[in-house]
Amino acid sequence: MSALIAKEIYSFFKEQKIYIIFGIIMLICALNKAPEVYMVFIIVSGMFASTSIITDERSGWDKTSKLLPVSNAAIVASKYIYGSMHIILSSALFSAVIILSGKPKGTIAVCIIAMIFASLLQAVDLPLGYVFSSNARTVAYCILTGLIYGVAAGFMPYDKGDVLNSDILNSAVFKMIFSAKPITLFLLALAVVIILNVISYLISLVIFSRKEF
Amino acid sequence: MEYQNALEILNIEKRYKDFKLDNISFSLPKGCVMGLIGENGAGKSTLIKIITGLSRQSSGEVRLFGNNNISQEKARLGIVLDNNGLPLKFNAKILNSVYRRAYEQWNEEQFFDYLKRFDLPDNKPFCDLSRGMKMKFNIAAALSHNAQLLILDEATSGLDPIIRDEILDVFYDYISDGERSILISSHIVSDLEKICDYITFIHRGKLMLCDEKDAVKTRYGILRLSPNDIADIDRSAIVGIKSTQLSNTILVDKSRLPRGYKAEKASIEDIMLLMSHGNKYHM
Amino acid sequence: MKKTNITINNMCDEPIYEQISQQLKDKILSGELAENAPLPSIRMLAKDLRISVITTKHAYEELERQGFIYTIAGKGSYVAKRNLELEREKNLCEIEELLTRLSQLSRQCDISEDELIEMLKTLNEEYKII
Repeated sequence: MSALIAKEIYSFFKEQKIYIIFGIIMLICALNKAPEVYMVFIIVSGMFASTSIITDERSGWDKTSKLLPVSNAAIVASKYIYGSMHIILSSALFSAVIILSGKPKGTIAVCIIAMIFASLLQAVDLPLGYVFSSNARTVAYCILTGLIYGVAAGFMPYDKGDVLNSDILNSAVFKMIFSAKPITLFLLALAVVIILNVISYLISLVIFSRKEF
Repeated sequence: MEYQNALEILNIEKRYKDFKLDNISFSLPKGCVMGLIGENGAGKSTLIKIITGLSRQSSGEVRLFGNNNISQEKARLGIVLDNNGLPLKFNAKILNSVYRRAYEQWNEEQFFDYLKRFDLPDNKPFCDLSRGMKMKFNIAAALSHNAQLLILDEATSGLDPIIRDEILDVFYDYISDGERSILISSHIVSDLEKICDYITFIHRGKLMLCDEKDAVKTRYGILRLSPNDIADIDRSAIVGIKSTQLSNTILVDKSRLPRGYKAEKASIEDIMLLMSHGNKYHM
Repeated sequence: MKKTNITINNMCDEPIYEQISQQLKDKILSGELAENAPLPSIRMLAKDLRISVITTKHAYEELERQGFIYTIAGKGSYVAKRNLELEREKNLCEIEELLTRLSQLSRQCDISEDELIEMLKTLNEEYKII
């Protein structure tokens, strides 16, 4: 499996250079008093795994990798691990930046919510990706992504300083969640991410194992 | 672990909507080279997909090195299909880093040696390589992890005769220790005529022939007869016949030929063509 | 190991393994391949001649059966000690068989003894040139 993850990482550095530049810009935004636009960046990190599946299909690598001495479980797991690495790393990175730049601690909640949405995106899209061909999936993917972004937009902060300004977010439950220590919140969110991904992984594995090349 | 046959195909069937691989059985002994021939669409690629685990058979068994759990044996296979896709922006060096983690017996030095021998660049991205170069690349990779069974599906059809000859040389070297075997499928039969020990002929999903190449070439011959003269020949001697108004080209089983008839030598390609025509004829 | 000069004719009727064993036999009989001289491995020979390994194996098996070579497992094949008496006897047998067949055929198509002798003389002349 380390071969497959190595392939994903090499692919990332070879093909996604723009993303790295985008990331640097977002980091600069986060360090300054710009609105929390970097949330978008974190949600976008949920797209890497499924983009990888599309590129593999187009280049023919999906077939070639199936010939390697790796199990189906490893092939599917490598996509999830790669995608999750992106999601967790970007979320952790921006959380750290927020703490360093002295913003209110509650702002970290934004990163964490974004992390959960990114995972949701990944968890729903990967099994879809294994079922449909690239083309059909692209349509479904756009609709789905649109939906998730739409909902996530509800959590985007508009005022500087005060992150939480919608009714849902002001409810008692969320106030309690957001007043918790950032580390606790992060770990809870991590648990959600893991559960989402594991369920999705099991579904994807069943679909992939039935696939004929 | 000792084994006798590198590959055993036992009653393999694969049913599609309008095509069927029908009860195919044959074996490839260790240390031998087997040519799998047949027209486009005959089922060679389907069979190879089943052997390599890309597709599942409807019924029947495949044994690799005596083991019927083929996914356990993938490390000992070197596979080159007609379109082994590679990540477009990768180059030889990057792929080497990936493969050396995938294969326990990956030999980096040997891999780069083959690349040099095939005149392939180390660090050009694959999207910039021609189809032939990508093919050579995949062959180099298949040869670089001590695979005991090389499986090649139309792997040389995009290459020029000079490099095909070079690759044939490479194959001869590869099997020189007697422990490695090769299964090569191609519709360019002349490639296979030389090195193959066994010939397996698949036509429209059915196994027409599987035997030692020498035996096949000794057993079959070609006769050209006018329609009148055909009646003189024992029907059971006729294996395949291609009829035109004026004459018939007949593939005969020499052992059943009546005395006095001398059949021409038949090439493997002749045998393939005439067998696929069937042996029905009208008086 | 010297390169063995064996040529294969794909066009002629004689099976390839027979062509090989015949040519090697000739070399052994003429002394070109000395007693106990090593022969190329069956795989090396196959590669050299661009043929299948089973063919070269068959050729060597023929030679071993007829007593011209011997094989040591794991090492290879070598030219056997020549037993001239035995060889002469074998050749005489084969000549007798061929003569019987020759006689049959010539009777079938009405070729006289003299014509046969002429043909033999012409052939031998050709051999001398080669």
